[in-house]
Amino acid sequence: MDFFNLLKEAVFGLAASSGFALFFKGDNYLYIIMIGISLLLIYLAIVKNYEPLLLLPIAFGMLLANLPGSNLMLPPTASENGGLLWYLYQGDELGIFPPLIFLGVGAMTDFGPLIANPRSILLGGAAQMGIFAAFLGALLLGFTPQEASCIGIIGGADGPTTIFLSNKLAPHMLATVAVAAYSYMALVPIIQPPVMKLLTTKEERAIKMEQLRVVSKTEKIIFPIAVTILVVLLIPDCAPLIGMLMLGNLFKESMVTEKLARAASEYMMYIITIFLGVTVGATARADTFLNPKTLGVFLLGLVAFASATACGILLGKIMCKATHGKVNPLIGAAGVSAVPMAARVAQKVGASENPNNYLLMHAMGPNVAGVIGSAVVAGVFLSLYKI
Amino acid sequence: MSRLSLLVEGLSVTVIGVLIVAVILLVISFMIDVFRVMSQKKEQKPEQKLEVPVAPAIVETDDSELVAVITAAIAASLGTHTDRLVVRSIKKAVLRGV
Repeated sequence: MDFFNLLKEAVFGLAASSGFALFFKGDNYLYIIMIGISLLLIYLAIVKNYEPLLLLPIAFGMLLANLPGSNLMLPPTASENGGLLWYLYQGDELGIFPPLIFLGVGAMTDFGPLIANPRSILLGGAAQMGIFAAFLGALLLGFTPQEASCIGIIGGADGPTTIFLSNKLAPHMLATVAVAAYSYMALVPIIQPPVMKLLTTKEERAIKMEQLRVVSKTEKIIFPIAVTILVVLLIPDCAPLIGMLMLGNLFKESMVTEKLARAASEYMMYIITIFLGVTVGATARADTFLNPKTLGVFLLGLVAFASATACGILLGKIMCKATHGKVNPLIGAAGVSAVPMAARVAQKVGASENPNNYLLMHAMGPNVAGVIGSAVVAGVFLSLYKI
Repeated sequence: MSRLSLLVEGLSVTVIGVLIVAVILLVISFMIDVFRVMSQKKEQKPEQKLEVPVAPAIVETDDSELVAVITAAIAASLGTHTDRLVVRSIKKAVLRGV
């Protein structure tokens, strides 16, 4: 009989310490909702192909962190080591991962179309106005300036920039803002066209642009160096992002560091993407994610993307008038720096109006300019609001 | 902080931010213009030196071929198509003291 008692105690003991039992403690049932959300995001990533490279690790990180008892995000105590994800998370907390991803992004970016048409950098800047629109909206809804900056930067359509800023200004919103940012980046082909069609006329959409001039190698090498010196001296707070972006670009353009460019844009970038994604997702806890503020973030994120598209197009229209019809306003929408998706959307909308129109290269100018623009805006927010 | 004063502060941040971003981007775009001017100047110098040896070599071939080659070269450097050019006259230039 003792044996059976021992067995009963062992089984109950095991059951009591299992994660399933922890669901019944206090507020822990909320974890179930978070698990459900993570499963939904996994579905969106795998089945609907929503930015899977980031959304899947984020979703799975969210799942792991919300299985009670896993303790993967616990910091170390005097007696125990911390959880696996906590150590990986230090790459986020210390601001290491996002700039390293930008290193890879720079090594994949061709600034040629931007150098060939310098005015397109203004279109990249115009689209960043969407950031400020959402920023103001967030202030109105009662978010603090720090939180509002991070919500606004969603409109920059740049994952690493969003994560970088949010980590420094509003770490409790990191997961919410990141999930919103990547979801909307995936939805660019759906959000942008209606705004683009609303704000442009048929004739404007059918404008064919002149061929871009050829950009020399020398220019492509000087560009990243000059931009780094200029921008970092002007706004030192965006140094990690701009510096790494331009370094990666220099690896690519200098032709003497091909192995470094490949490492940065392939292996390293995807390794960091894994760490970044999983740990960002793991910061999504029930208390920070499951509250009305999250809905506000998602709503404002949509405002950010839509108004960014609108501002880019509006400046595009102004430039069109100023150059007597040489600029197709649609490329302004590509200032929303979801590279290269926004450029492809501009190409598609333009081609639907005029099948001979090949706007892609022209749209790449504002597209990559937007990356620089959103990093600069992040630097501005940081210099104003960092604690 | 009251809602209104927060909004006012937000608006001033927006204005400052927009100005800073605009200035930086404008400076970058002017910097790119400097590239363009400098690279154009570099192109002009080697081109002038090339004209001297090339011209005598072409004179020996057929005239219509010559016209076609010159037209194509001009079209390429202007970034347009030969269809859009009408050649009225081509005169051989005498290069003095390049």
